[in-house]
Amino acid sequence: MIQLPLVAALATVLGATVAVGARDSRLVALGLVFAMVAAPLASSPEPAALAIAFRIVGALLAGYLLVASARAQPMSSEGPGIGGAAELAAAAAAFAVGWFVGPVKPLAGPLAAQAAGISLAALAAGPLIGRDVLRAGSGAAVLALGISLLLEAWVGPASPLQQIALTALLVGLVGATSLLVSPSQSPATRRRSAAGARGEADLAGAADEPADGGEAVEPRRGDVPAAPEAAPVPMPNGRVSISRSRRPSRQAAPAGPPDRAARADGEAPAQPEFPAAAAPASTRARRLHPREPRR
Amino acid sequence: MSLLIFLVVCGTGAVLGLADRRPGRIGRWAGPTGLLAALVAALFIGSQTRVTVGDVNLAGSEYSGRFLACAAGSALLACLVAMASGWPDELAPAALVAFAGLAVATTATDPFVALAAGAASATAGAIVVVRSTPRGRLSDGRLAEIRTIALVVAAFLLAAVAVLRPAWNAASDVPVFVLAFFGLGIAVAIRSGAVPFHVPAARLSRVAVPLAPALLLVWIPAGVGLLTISWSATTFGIRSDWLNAAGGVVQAVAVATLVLGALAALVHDELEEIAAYSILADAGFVLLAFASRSSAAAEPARLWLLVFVAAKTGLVAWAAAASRAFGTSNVGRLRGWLRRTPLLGLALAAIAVATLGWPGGAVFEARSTLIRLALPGQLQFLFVVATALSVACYGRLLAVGLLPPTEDVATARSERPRWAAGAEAMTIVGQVGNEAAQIEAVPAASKRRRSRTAALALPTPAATAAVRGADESAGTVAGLAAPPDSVPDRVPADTAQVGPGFRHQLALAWRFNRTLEVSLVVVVGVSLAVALASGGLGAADASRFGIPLDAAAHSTPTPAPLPTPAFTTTPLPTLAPPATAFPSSSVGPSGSVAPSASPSPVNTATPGQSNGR
Repeated sequence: MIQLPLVAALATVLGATVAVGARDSRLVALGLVFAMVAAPLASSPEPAALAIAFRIVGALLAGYLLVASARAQPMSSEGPGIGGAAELAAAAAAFAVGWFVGPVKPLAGPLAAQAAGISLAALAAGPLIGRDVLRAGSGAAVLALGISLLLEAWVGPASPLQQIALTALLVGLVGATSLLVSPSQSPATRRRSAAGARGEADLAGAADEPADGGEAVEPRRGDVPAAPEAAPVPMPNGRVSISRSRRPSRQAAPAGPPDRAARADGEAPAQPEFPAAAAPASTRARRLHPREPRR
Repeated sequence: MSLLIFLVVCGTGAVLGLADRRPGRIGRWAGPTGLLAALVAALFIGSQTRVTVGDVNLAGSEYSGRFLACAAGSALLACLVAMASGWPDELAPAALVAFAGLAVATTATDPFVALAAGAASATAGAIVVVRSTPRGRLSDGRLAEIRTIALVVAAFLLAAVAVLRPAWNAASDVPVFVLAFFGLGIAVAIRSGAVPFHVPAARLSRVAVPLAPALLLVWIPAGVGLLTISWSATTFGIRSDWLNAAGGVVQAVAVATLVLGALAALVHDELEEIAAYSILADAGFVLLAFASRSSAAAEPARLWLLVFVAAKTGLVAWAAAASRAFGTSNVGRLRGWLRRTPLLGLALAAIAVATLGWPGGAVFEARSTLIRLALPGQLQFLFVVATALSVACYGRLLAVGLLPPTEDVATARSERPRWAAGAEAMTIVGQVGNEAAQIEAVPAASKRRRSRTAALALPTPAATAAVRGADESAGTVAGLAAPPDSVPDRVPADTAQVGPGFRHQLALAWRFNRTLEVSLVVVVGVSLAVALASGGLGAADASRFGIPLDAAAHSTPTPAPLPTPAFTTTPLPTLAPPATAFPSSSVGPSGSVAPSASPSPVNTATPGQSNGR
């Protein structure tokens, strides 16, 4: 007969794998909620209904915080460096290790909770070493969840106050993550941070300091500079076309219909009206050939 | 009841403060009001305070009440200074979140609850970190903060595993204790910004909101340190080579923090960095208390934590006030600051006195006791070295203030009550229509002063502009809530020393001299730190008693020392829960410590040692 703690432990591991492996922040939130809801059910005897309800409410609140921060600006994590399948395999291996090792004998809780705890701890190691804030935060939450599972396996089921404290800790961790990845800082603080940064830049003569507080923004890989305001292009039918493409060349180029009309007339395709030098340069210059060593 | 009020106030204030941060809204006032209410509630927390809701049991103590009151009062001081020097909306809610967690942690009788709540309070630091993508990955404050939080959480939960002592399937559970001890020490070191991990702390002025060091380097580390030293004497009092090695590592970190932190504070030129390094240097004493693993270190460490919270918050507030008054935080450009703001100079001297103490004083004895207990005899001189470096740091700042003032300092408004432009204009507005009567009201005014008063009575464009400026920088509470001026108050070119009378002039000068207001707030806060440093305000009495976590730690059976000969047929004694329970508590089947019916704080004072009392 399949026992509830085993199912809950497997569900916890699955949710944690999704949380630390997904790239979309909403999927990360979903995985965390799934793991946080399933984790208290992995203990034996299972907690009281009120404690489970509290944990569920806490999990939903944590998930909401993460989703709400992603609502202001879509976020995505780098994802696992070893790939999703490899991470799932690592979680399964850690689960097996936790199933067969016995650091505590006799166990005060179910063996599945110990296996899930070790699996979650192994899953959290990668994100915490990495440099992605969202992954690091979800990894921290998964780690806390894993240690709580180990506690339930080694020490016994948690008391109601322990459940409350653990829920507060998990909500705090996910809330901290959502705050750190969220751009929604208070307007007053942003304004003053900007003023402070400008003042520091003026004092130090550093022209490259940004005005958004802290330090300058480095364009990440794949970032495209903000496109200029698209100019309306008159079309043959009398309408005006405004290109919404994010690619600068598309925005600056004439609209398609005149080109197609010209081709239909047998003329050469119209060339862009702007000089080549005016086209925005790529954000990241890539040197294909290394410079020759100096003699 | 007061503990419940404290928790409710902290929770409500934090939620309101974080939910609605628009200017003029209620959420903006929720933070300072919540801090004030929390301060009042914390003053009533004592050994008789109990909160029992179902299975939830929290018990207050004298020290937990003093600690929470000290933290809430310090946060209120920081918020008052922040109102004038760049109000960060996140500071007060973050402080309230942290204090709510620390309140549960310092009153919980369950070790796991205390450690989990302490870890949860550490997550509040994320609120004050500026969310901006950094230029260099090494200077990502967000990543450093989330890693620090994760480390604190992991260390505290692992320590909970260790102190709850499951039935390990090994000959000895000393390795678990070594790991827990090492994890706790490193967690405190990283959260405090100890020297190998000091880079994020030094960069806080760039990656966090103003006055955030008070939260990230003072309040949260003090709470974390308080929880940590509760276990160091008893739980980690095992004689083991590995534990001694871990203690040696923590001692090395503490010594490096004491010396190099003070040295860094001496050589840096930005006030925020000086304050950060000075704070982390003094946080080395908490590490020393933890590394000493002695019951005698508990009382001086607790007293030191009270003084640390008050004095170091005062230092952060002083740095913010000085930066705000002169528009710069560079020490080179702050030459002559003491001449313009003597009250800030007094505050800095008081901070030095409160931090370092005086021979025979409570905090001096506490610091020297911690050094004596934690370090071997040949390293006792480090107390003198650390004190000398700190004196040199404070002395340097004071000496710079006595030099001839720079242009920044000379053009800034001083603390001296003077007839400011705003006050002039306000008087003018009130006097339009009865200039003659107002002129006659000037007592013993010379001819020149009368003529100037008469001239000022005319509603000139300059006066109109001054009225506008006065509206913007009007003092009192309502003015403080307004968006602060990011530029320092400048002395108007035409500052007339005239007015309707000295008392009215003084009152108006107070209302319109924000520099004076901020300096007085700092002085008041720092004077409380001096009182705590002398053992007053109940600090010395409260320090003799611990928090309920101390009682739980002392009820935990002290592990028996491992016998040295390894090749023996007799089984090694383990730290498994013994069958006999202690009189004041009972050990449950899972190893958790159940509190007794009347958990009284444990007096851990060493006989004959009373910290200057």
